[in-house]
Amino acid sequence: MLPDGGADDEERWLAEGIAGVQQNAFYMHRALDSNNLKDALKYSAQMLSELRTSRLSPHKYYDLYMRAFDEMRKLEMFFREETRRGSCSVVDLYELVQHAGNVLPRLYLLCTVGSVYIKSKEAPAKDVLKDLVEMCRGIQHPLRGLFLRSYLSQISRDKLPDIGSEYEGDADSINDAVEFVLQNFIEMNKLWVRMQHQGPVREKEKRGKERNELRDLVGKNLHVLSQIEGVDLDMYKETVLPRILEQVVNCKDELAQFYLMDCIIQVFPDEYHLQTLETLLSAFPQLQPNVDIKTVLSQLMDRLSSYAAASPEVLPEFLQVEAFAKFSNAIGKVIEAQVDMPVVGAVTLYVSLLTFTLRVHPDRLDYVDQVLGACVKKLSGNAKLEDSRATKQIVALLSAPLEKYSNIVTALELSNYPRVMDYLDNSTTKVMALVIIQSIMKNTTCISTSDKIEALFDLIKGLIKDMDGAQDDELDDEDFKEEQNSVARLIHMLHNDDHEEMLKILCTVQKHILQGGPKRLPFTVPSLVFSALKLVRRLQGQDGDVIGEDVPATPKKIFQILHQTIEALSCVPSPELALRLYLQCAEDSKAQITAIHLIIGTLQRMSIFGVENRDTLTHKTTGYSAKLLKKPDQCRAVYACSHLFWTDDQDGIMDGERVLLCLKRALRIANAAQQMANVTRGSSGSVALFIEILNKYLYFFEKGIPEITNTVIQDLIELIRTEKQSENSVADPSTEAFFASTLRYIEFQKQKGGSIGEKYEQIKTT
Amino acid sequence: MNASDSFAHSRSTVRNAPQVRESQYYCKWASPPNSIPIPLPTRRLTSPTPAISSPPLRRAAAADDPPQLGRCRLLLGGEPPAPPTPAMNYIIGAFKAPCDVFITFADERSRKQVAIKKDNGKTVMVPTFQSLETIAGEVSIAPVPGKRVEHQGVKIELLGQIELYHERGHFYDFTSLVRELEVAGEIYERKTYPFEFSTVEMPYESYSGTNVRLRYILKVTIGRPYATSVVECRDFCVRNYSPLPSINNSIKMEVGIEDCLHIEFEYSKSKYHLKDVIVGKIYFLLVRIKIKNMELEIRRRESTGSGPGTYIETETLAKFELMDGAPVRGESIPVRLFLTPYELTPTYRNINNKFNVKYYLNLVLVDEEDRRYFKQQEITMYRLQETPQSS
Repeated sequence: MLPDGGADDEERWLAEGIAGVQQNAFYMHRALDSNNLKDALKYSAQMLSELRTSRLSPHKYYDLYMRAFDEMRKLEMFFREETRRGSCSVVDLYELVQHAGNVLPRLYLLCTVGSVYIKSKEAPAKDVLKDLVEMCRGIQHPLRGLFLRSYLSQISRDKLPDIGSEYEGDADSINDAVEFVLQNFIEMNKLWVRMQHQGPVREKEKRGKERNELRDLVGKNLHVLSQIEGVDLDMYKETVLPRILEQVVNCKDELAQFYLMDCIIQVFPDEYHLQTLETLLSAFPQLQPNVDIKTVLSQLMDRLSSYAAASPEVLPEFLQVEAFAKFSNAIGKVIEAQVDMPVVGAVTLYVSLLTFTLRVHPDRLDYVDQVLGACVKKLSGNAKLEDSRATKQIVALLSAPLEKYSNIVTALELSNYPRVMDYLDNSTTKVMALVIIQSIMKNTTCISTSDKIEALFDLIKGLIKDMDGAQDDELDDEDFKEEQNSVARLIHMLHNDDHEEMLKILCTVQKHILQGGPKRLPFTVPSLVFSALKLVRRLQGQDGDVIGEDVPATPKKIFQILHQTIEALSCVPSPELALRLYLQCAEDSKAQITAIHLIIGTLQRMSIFGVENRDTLTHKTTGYSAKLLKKPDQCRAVYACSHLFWTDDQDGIMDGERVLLCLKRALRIANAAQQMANVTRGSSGSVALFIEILNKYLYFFEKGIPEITNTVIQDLIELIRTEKQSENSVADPSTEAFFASTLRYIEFQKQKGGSIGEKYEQIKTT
Repeated sequence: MNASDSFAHSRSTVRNAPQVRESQYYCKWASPPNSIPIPLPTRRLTSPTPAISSPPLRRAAAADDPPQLGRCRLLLGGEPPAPPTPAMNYIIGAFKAPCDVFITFADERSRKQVAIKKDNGKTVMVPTFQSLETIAGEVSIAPVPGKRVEHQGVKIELLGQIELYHERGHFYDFTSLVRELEVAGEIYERKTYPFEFSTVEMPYESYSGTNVRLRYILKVTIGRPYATSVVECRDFCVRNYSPLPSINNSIKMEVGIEDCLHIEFEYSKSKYHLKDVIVGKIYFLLVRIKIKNMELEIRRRESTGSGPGTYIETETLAKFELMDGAPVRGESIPVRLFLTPYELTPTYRNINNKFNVKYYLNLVLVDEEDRRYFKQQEITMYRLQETPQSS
């Protein structure tokens, strides 16, 4: 009965106990010095009687025990001396100590003499040990019993009839050694477990704590077992493990089961675990429902996978024992048995299993998929996960294969992978998607087929588009940018050397990112554009090689795609970006022309820009047009720009002055081109430029821009004529035809009459 | 003997007794030195090593009581001698015996000696015999120098007596043999007479209990005409040995209190010799009370007299703690109790219709509120002939 007393009282009791031990130890020493066996026994028994106290907590009791223990060492030496001298045979001594009336001192003394007895080899060690472990049943008080048996274990450790030990007896003595340790273990565990159930209920928690302090006393036995030389795999398999597990399962105590399972896993070699996996695992489902199995099981898998990693030569054994199947099976059973296990527990188990699989069977993708599949099955009962810890574990689960294979392509083959992701809430899905992208980035994985990209985008759809039913809750702007930048970076990683496939890829990406909505597009589109441009450049690099009609990937097509894409931006309030993209697209000389034309075409029709913006845009466009590489291109672009300043819409821009400015500029460029052509004598066609410009003039003339007068047109026709004559080269028939048809057109308009005909009247075509 | 029985059950008067610091159980080393040398262990784990008795203990015993030869002063007057007082000393001085009488046994030096307690509280060593042995020796009478002893004859008697303390001064002689040593006459000088009682039947053992004593004496009487006779006595001890019992069943019994406590105990034998070991086990079938500890007691029940004048005295000779703490169902607690340290005698049944001495094993369970549950079983004690190989 523990009276209600504070720590002070306990301190006092401990002090009293220690004083008692010291006093009796003093008399005992005196008796030892004078070789007085009778007194030595008397005082040592009195000293040990101090250990009969029930008033100390385990911690304090341990203190007292250690003091008595030190004294007992001296007594043991005295006993050894006594028997060596022959003044008292060890057999007599063994009886003599049993005359003690109190059971606890008697058994401590018996163990002490027993140790001497074994050392004297007058009896087989196994007999003495068996007797000792049996007699120790006399102590049923948990705390005292644990310490007594721990004493027994301590003094017998170096005296077990182990193989190779000097105490080894006949052939089977190893069995006795094992039996002894096992029995002591079982008894200690029983006492330890019983501790939980004795005493008042209100101190239950305290007892749990106290028991935790004592657990190493029990676990030490397992350690001893693992140290016995003679415990080979066979013996471990046949005797040791089943007996331990039987005890662990039957004790039905959470604390003990958790600790002991962990202990088994820690103290015995991995090789044994591997070979007895079935037995070991079969115990798990039988444990109490509240035991933290996941930790233990994870430990086991961690250990085994480290083992496999450390010594690759054992890998065949893993296969042979079907380690994966067994683990997978056991986990399933555990989850089934522990109905109350929270989802996080189950998922943690799967994470461990997955880690194990990845480390041990990296080549078995189907295993990984199985694990994920099992996880999906477990999760299928719930809708979405709300437990944040569980979510975290799932993220870990999904990240593991990525880390291992450092290649998302592998993960994409896992059919259950996206199914697991489905159970994540939106924000976690995003986190996971980021993880995936980061993995790709880190490993610079190239994803090269559109199928896989399809799958990939399915995985990261949380980033790509708004999820169903998800309100756009307070999403941090920074985070959002970060996310979208990741996506953008990802797009760059998609690559295939085959142009055709690459085009498909681009299409797929485009399809997905266009679903992104106005907020995402500014981030994602640029990447796609650049990626596409890269392809264009590649196509050009091999220009002429395979430019046939049936080639699916042509710059044109790409630009079409680009156009569509960028157009999507038009609904987004970020004109500058769109423009810059257009311009970017225009960077390749040949492509640029097309691009500029496209830009111009688009811009012309766009009406959403404000005056100022539009002004900037047109200005820039014109500027870029003038910067094209080849003069003729410059020229054509610039005259095309003129359209930007004249729209037919009602409230469109009608800036005749600037139209003229453009056209004049085009003329200047054409002129320059003509001069260059003269110098090089290389190419012709400048005249054609003039004719084209003339056509533009005519167009705007017809539109009725006041600045374009018939004099101007007349001058231009004259200029063309002069140029044609001065040109030394052979006249290009097509140019001739073009000029002729232009003139014919003017004539035609004259004859047609009407307001336009009147306008033309002034122009002389001959 | 496998019956179901119920516990006796008593409540101790002391509740929540303070913790006992000293060993509360009888223990050989804690008790004063005893004259019985530590005998050889009779049960042990291994066989062959011949054991030697423990010298330190034997030394202690020897130092306390050097063996005495049967030398006494002659006493005037009858028996038993009154404790000496100053007045008596005067009288003794006045009627100083005219001669010294010595009784010696023929094989006294080689015979085994045991300690017995004399009336005056001193222990003396006396030789031991067993039934049907021949008791022989010498009586020597030495007159005080310069005196002669006139007598009406000298005789020696061998007496077996039972003395019940409740009937103080009354002896029952169950054996009485007489040898005449000398016819009436005078003794002038030291004279020695041999005597011999051949194959004496001494069916009962010497015993000294709480209420009864059984003893054997040699009594020399020198009858004198005008004075009280000169009487000299010499105690000797009788110990009779029994063979190993042909039937020695174990004691096995299930006892309990309904729905509260059920145990099964088993002692390997029902008959034990004095240096035996009680081996057994206690098996707990049901435990619903909070047991604190369990002990095994050896009790001696001595009954004297008969009919209404029967006195029964019970004495606990051994208290041996078997278990500490509260067991649970299914536990089995080993019992191993060495009988050597305790001063036991064989079981005596109906000794000359005067007394009985019986032994019991009492198993006691004490619960946390100091209630005691016990079950008593009789065991039979016997004295086994010590043969050299039995040591």
